[in-house]
Amino acid sequence: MAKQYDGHGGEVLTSVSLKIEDGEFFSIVGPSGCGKSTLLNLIAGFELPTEGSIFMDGKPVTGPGNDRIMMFQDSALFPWLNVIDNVKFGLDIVGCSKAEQEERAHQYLKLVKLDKFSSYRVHELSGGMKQRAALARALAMDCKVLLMDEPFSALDKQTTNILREELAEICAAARRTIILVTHSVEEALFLSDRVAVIGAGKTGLKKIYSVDMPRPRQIGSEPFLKLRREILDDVRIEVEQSEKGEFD
Amino acid sequence: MKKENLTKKESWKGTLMVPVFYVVLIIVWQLVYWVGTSSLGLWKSYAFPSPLMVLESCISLIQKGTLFQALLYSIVRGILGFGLAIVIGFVLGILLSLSEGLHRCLHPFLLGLQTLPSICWVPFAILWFGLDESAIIFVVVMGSAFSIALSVRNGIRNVNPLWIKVARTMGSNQKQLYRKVIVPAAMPAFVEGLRQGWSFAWRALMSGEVMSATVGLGHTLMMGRDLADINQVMLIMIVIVVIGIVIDRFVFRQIEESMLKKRGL
Repeated sequence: MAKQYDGHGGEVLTSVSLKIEDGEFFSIVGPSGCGKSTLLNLIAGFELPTEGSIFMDGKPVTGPGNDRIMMFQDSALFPWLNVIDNVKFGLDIVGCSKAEQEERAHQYLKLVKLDKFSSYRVHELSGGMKQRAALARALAMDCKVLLMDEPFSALDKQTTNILREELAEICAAARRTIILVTHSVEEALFLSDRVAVIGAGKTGLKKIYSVDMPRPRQIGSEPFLKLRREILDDVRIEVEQSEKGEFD
Repeated sequence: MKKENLTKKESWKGTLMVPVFYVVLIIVWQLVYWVGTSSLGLWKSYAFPSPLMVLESCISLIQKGTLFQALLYSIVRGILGFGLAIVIGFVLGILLSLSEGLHRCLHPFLLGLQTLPSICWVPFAILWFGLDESAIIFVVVMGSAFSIALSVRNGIRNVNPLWIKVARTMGSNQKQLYRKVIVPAAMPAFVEGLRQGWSFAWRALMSGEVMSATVGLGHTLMMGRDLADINQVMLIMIVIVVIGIVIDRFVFRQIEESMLKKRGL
């Protein structure tokens, strides 16, 4: 898979050019307001770049499509459906047979450990369970690329930690290309093959770090902390610059 | 044990408080009638209704079959007019949700029409349709369709944009988006709109019947005035209110509550 992006969405992003490989876990970090979510929206096809274009498997992205499924900060489950019908939602849209919907929904609910809750109503789930159900809904689509827009930022720290570990496992099991936008450098390092830092203002893509560490990764280990500090410093410089920019 | 007693006491209070209140209210009303008309002579007895005489009037109207016939006519007209208003309201509401420009242009006009009491449509309706059923139906439609249209439009417009994004990222087309996301998501707003629309429709129906019907609750009300029978007037007013409450409670509230409960709201 090749994805080239070159252009800017409104005033937010300037000349970002990157290529994400098939099966890669790619994270995007940066100070708030740097346009990381915009970049994700562009890849998803919700917005179109003003200059340049995005290619998915050599074809330009012209709008949303189910080869790229997006997950949000809010689980955005449908409250009028129960858990399993939420997972079946996308499969129904694609036109899967009832039997296949049933089978795939069960398979992915099991993967996210919600198989016992398939007939629950959305409001009966905890925040973490909702996000897991949303993950099952997205994975069940058999998409090539999963786009995650700060999927854990609305959860408490405990749940976030558990979900991160689960996501690492699930990703290993259901090998997909994942592009994660997050404000947590630690999260990005824990999960990703590569981490991109987006600069504040209109600077665009600043640097891409490769994370060559064996999995499961140890958050307290020496190389982890070293890389974390390096990226954090990078982000901090961006934040300071953007603040200075605001005062000028 | 203690806690159980407490909840028992509370539920006793909850179930009996309201009926007891109304029984007391009716007794007070009867007492006011007695004291006010015979002892103090404040009012003439034909100008002030009493609960017992309203009941008497009720029994006599039931025996004559007038009450049942009036009810039947009013409810059938109500269903016809409201049904038509729902169709027009939904079509208009969907059009308004599709075009922001159309909504901007029509919104003040529709709100203006909402402030026009439905009785004001009666002269127009009579001139247009003559003194017949369609005139009353027309008044009902004019009284409730626009309120329904605005609710439908707002319901569609206020659907959580994230849900729409989810559907789009899953690759849904416009038809699937409406059928699977927008309509179910806006359903609570639709029901709320229908509930409000019904109360407008019922009021409009009574205005229409008072002015032009030859049978129906509104007409029976006017008959009471023509016969100078204050008890019949009071009775019909009570019946109109009760029907309004019953339909609101046992139709719309029922649907609304079961739907919201399912969604955990």
